[in-house]
Amino acid sequence: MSHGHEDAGRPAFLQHHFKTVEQQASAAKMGMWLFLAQEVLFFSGLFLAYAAYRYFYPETFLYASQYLDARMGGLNTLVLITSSLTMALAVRSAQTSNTKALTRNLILTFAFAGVFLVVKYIEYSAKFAHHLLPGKYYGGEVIEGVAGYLSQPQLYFGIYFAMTGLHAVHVIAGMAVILWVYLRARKGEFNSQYYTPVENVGLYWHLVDLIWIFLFPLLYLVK
Amino acid sequence: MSQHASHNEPHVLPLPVYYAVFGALVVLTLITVGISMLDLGAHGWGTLGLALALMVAFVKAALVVGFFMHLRYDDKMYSVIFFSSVLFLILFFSLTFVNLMSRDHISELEGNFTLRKEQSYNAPSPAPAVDKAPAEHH
Repeated sequence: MSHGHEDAGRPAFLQHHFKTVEQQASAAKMGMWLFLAQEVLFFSGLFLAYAAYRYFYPETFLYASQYLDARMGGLNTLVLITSSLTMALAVRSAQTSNTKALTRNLILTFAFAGVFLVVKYIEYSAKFAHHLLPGKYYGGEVIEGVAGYLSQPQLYFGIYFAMTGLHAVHVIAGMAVILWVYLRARKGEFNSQYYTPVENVGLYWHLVDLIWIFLFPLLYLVK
Repeated sequence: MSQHASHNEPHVLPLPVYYAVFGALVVLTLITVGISMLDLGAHGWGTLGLALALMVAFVKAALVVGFFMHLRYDDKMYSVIFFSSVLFLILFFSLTFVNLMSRDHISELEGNFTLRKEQSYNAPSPAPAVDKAPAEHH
């Protein structure tokens, strides 16, 4: 974002094509909400694939989901919820011009996101070790006593890796923008008059948490 | 966009609100896990468990969207944008499931192969050519 020079009382962060600070802030926020609307639709394709496959192969989902550790999934859920709290607190810190709290909360958010990825890595390693992979790469057990073509664990793991993988990509991207905003915050760029980047990164991060809130029961708690 | 009088002071929520929402989210997560651990046993109950878990997830989502994302206190335009995507999501799911759930019925009339045949260990069905991974037995 280019910074203009101050003139006629216009602050430096107010870009020349916006009339007022409020207009710039609300335009940026609307842009982010439009992006989030897209993200919802983006993930809805995979959620629908999940729904269709679970509808047609309930025993596969029941069986294959046992391989997932609900404790790790639950831990990750709490980790992301906590990161959402620290992110929301970061936005509030910016709103109250509290740079120290802002940088602290951003770093905490970043750290929790990192913890999430570490837990994910542990889970994925376990899957790879047991050959619990999508589609034709599946090398694990088949369900005993169920007609062959109804036992499709590779279907479940295709869904599992696609959804959690795409989500993890979003977590990584989120960490990158959180880091960017943190570096700017450290330089004292944000205060109650201008905290738009913090706010919008926060909105994105909450969506990442939101998606996981649905992923967790659907993937880990199939009964 | 929105005609506010003096918008120089951002709308700051009191700290207790943040911690209360966080606490509710943690409790709801524990409830979700608790629901899954209930011995809902036999068939049919599994669907109830799913319905309950999804309801809890929606409550959690409402808390995150309403408070953490500030949608409750913001210009209504952002709500319109967000909920319109939810509307299309509902449309997407409904229409697809109207199709998926009516397939067996179609096959009864025409005797065509459907995506899923009646599940039966005695089914003398010609199994479809499924691209299955070779299973490793121990």
